[in-house]
Amino acid sequence: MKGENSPANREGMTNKPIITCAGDWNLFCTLEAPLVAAIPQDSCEWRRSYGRPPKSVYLEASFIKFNKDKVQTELNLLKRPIFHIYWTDCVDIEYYKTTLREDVEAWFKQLERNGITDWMVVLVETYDIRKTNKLLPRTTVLDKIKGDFGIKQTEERFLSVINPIKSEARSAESWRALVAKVRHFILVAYNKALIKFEEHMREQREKRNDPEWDFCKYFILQEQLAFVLEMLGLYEEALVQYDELDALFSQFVLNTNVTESPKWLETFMQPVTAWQAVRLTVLVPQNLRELIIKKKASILDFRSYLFQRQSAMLLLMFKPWEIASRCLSTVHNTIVELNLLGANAVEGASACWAQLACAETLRACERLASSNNAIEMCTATQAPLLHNAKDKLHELGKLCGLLPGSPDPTSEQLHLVVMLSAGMGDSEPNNQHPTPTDRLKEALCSKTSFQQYYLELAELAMGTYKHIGRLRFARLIGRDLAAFYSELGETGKAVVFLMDALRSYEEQGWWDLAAQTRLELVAAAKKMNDVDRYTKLSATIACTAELEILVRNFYYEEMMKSIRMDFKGKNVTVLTELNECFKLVSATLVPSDRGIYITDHKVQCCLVVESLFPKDVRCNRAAISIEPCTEDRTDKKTPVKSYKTDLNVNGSVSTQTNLQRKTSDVSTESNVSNVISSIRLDDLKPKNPLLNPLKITSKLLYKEDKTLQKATLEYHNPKVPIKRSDSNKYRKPSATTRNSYNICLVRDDVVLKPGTNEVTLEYIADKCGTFKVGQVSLLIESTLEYLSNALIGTKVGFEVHTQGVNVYLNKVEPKKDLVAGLEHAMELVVTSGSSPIKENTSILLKTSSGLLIRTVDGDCPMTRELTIPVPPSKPFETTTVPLRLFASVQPKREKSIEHTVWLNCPWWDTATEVPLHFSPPMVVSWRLLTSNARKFVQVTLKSTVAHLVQFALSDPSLQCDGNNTVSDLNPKNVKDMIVASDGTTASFMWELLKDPLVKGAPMKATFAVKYRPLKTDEPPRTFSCPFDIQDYTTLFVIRTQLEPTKGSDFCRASQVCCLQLTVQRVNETEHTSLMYEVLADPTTWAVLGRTAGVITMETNCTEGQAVTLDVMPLVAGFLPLPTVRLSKYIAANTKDPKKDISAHPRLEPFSPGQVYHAGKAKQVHVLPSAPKEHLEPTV
Amino acid sequence: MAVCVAVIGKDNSPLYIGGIGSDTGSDSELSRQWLVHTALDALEERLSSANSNNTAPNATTPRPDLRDLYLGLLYSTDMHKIYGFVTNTRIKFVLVTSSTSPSGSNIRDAEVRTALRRLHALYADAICNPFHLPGEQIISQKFDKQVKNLMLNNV
Repeated sequence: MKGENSPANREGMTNKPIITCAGDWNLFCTLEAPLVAAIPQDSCEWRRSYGRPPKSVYLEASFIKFNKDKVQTELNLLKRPIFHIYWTDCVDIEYYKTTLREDVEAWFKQLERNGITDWMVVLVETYDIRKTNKLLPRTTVLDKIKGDFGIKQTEERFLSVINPIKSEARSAESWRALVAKVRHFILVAYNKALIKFEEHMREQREKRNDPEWDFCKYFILQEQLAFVLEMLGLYEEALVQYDELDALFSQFVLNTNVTESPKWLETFMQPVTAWQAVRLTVLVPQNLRELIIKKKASILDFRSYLFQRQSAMLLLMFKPWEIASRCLSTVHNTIVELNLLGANAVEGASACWAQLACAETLRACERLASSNNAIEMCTATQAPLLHNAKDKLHELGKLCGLLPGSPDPTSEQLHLVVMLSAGMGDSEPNNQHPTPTDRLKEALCSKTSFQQYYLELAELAMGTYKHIGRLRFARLIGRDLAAFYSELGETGKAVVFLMDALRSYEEQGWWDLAAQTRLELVAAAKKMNDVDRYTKLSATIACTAELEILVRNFYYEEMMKSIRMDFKGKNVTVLTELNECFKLVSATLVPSDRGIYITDHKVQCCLVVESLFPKDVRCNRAAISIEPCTEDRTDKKTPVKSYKTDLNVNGSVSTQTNLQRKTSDVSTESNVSNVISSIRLDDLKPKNPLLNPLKITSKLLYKEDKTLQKATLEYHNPKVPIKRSDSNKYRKPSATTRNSYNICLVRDDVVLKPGTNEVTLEYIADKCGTFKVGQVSLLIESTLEYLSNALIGTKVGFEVHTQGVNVYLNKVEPKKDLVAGLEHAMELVVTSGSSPIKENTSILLKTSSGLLIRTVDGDCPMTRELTIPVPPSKPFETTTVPLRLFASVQPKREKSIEHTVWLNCPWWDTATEVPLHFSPPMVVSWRLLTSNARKFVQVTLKSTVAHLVQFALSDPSLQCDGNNTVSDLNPKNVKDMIVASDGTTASFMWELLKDPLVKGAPMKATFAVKYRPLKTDEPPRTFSCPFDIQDYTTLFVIRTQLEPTKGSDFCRASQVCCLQLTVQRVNETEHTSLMYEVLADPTTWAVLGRTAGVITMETNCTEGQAVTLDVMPLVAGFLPLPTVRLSKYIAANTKDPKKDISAHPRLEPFSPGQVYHAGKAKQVHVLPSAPKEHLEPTV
Repeated sequence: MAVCVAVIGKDNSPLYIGGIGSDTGSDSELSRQWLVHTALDALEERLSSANSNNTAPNATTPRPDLRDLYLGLLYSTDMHKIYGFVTNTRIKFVLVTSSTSPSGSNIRDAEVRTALRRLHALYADAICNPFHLPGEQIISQKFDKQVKNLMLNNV
């Protein structure tokens, strides 16, 4: 507030405090210039009454000559001198006493008469060096004056000052004191004056309800206070004065509504003739003030004046933004007041005034803000101003027929333009830039300049709104602009604004506004002849529930018309958002009958969709795209192994169990990939946390004496995880892209009724794998294709499995084992899976060697390769092909025979292996029996098949090689022998007829017998079994004989007997060294002495070697003799270490046929032991 | 007193808009919706400036008490004045008065404050209905009646 902005620098500031000068006027004239200059140079603290805070103010002063006749009343603050000074330079006391005193006295009297207490007497001295040298001046003129006129309280009002003109150096101190005093006393005077004035003012205000009271007078009165405060630099307080006046006025005007208006208000009801722009300067607009004083001011004049003054205060306070914000409320109030008062005005005058006020305010703000750092603060308030200016301009344009699209202005409108321009008055001269008045005038002149100005304002307002973040306002202007552009014919631009607005309304759920915007858009689309958009929007509008049904029906018809007219014959579809016209409620995959989805079968999806159309619409195709899940394994084929026929386990595995097992597989797999089969769109929305039940627990608390202390309900607030708020809500929705509908669930031609519809879509699965349901597409009336994005991202899907063809090789009688050597009835079971079996399909069967196969019909031979044609069949049909299977009997006596059948099917790359287990029909065992040198072969047949089989045997034969012959000992005249698996065996016997002179070389024999299953008429088959017979020649014969001890005739128990053992060689052999061992049953025999010994047979001696052993029978009865084992004794060979590793002698057994034990079956009769007395000594 | 009262949810979507007046045609109802909608801008501005410590000095009515839910005059147009109120759960109430009607032009700030407080109470009553889902539009007829009453009562 210092320096350049001090009041002194401002032009037209006329309200300086007036100070009168009396006494020596000539003297004062010499001092006036330095005094006027000195007063504003420093601030002075103003202590104020009524507890108002002290302010530091700068003062100015203007001096006039004291005029005793013209002393103003104290009710005029401005014109009245506020302070009075008496000047004199009299130094001569005598002169004072004679002349000056009278003059001073007269001045004082004059003051007293007017009740003035604010005065000062200044004695100007000339610096006198002699005088100052005196210690105490006796009495000066000042003392005299003081003595004559002063009292104690006023002593300080007498002042002497050294004339600064004559001796500048010495005067500084006294001069400064003078200036300070002057300032101080002015303020004191003001204080007094203001208190008085305020009291007066208050008095006046209290009279405001008097019929004679006049607001204009009062206004001028109170304004004086504002002027003084302004002059003192107290702009804020000055503004308060204006605001009070403003409020007072507004209240009066508003009250006219309710009560009768006072008479003075008629002033403001006079016709409005001028609507000049407000001029935002600090200058007082004197012309307007004059009008107010003369009661000629219209409401607009008064408001302009008040606003200008208020703005002036704010300008002085450097608060341009405040001006801007006040401007709007002023404009609004004024227009309301204008209406209330019913002042006559040209239509558009108020708009003109308002537009100019806004534009001027903006100009002032810009001017100020650029020099101060207040741009930011201004911008926020500028936007509404621009908005208002734009609106008012639009209003004017409408009045004057300047809007685009309107016909040329009529003569009345042209006349109005002239009137309005005249009312605006002339703009201030000397301006490089066109003033708002100029611009408005120019704009009203022609359509183009109007358009230019309007667009400029609108764009600027929108930009500013956007800048300060008021996007909704910006969009509102955008809508206005859209309407403007639309009228202008630039519909494309309009659409951009409208789309932007529409999106924001939709995002925030302002459906009514969105509906309205859509109506505007559809009009624009029609104008642009944008058929696609028009059709789409018509459909959307038809589906807008917020609109009235008539409107909706109209646009429904429009849509249909457009489709009929514009899209006829065209093969294009228009892609649209599904959500605009339909609501997906749910999509549920219908579970298949088999529990899983399999190829070549339908996958059905039940889509529940709500149609928002007011009438039925035809949906030519409803589809849901299907996307294969890439991350899933593509090969869903069940491993080959599961197709294997496991014949060991109770025959075949049935189809049913196979499927069941697979379904269980499916369920586990689908758990892994998390595909769900049904979705309700409501489920997708995040759950409202407010709907969660509160976890409230009740508690009863008891005191120590078990009485209830309190019962509480507690709610433990669980820590709800903070979720990211749905930020994508405000994101610009990406355009829906059309998925690939190469594979899709589809349904053609459905009529969608208003409301909920249920549509079942189908898809024939042709591939297996996991699929996700993607996008929903509804093609309406062959033209509009509605695409959803709802199902994307969810995991609705299904898995398709291939149920391949199953081929089994089954036994006809599954309980019976397969028996080699018998023909078995088998069947090839072909179960077609999900796909049908086509014509000319055949299965090639290959068998392992020894296994033969043939078809049943005809007499085709058994082969190892068989091609079986499979008849064509529908899915899930079973074809059975009977087969005969024969496994040849293998001579080796194995427990089971393994065979394999390979099934070569066209569906599988690899052949399927079917292992078959065959049991041999019978098992052969043979024995070589010896009787001295005679040899017999016994062959026993036995069946080990698990189930009962019976064979009839015929024509047994034994063939030996070489020159050996056999003699058949089997009865010839009996019927067929029977061997059966129930334990019935068959035995045959042959004697080997051998030339005893020929050395018994190893011999091969083959047993053969013909067999056929009992109770069948199959031709008998031959069962043969070869075997080798070795070492069958008898070499030694052992004879044993038991003799009682000498002297007794019988063998008795517990008596030592003599066992005579004879070994006789009957055939040639190289084994001469033999060892015998007596193997006696220890319960019956006790061998005394050696039980074994080595004997050597002479090569050429046929005599037997005899050994006698002592044995004792332990029990009485017929006892078998102890057996004797004869072994080859190979003595320890020390000479040739190569042959024998061990140095010890060892034994080698003979083959069973080589040693004949003649007494093997012999028994001896042993008598019971002798009486006891005979026995005792021996024990 | 008021020509329009709106309850706006946390997400700035309208929960209730009720208007009265001689012009109950859909056109004027729409225009009131524009007013309410744009008022949100001013309201949000007020809220954000109240939240930040350095309250903008250009705010026409600085809020000395941050706990005061009444936001004062949001903005005005030639015809209307729009007042705001925000609950602690960021539910916004917007009240539109008409400057042209005798009752609306003369309205005092304190009256609007009282009306909005009463509206707050009505709103609290309405959402106490256990069948009302918070965040859904208020369709209670009782609430509508009470609000209409509130608007008229002060005329």
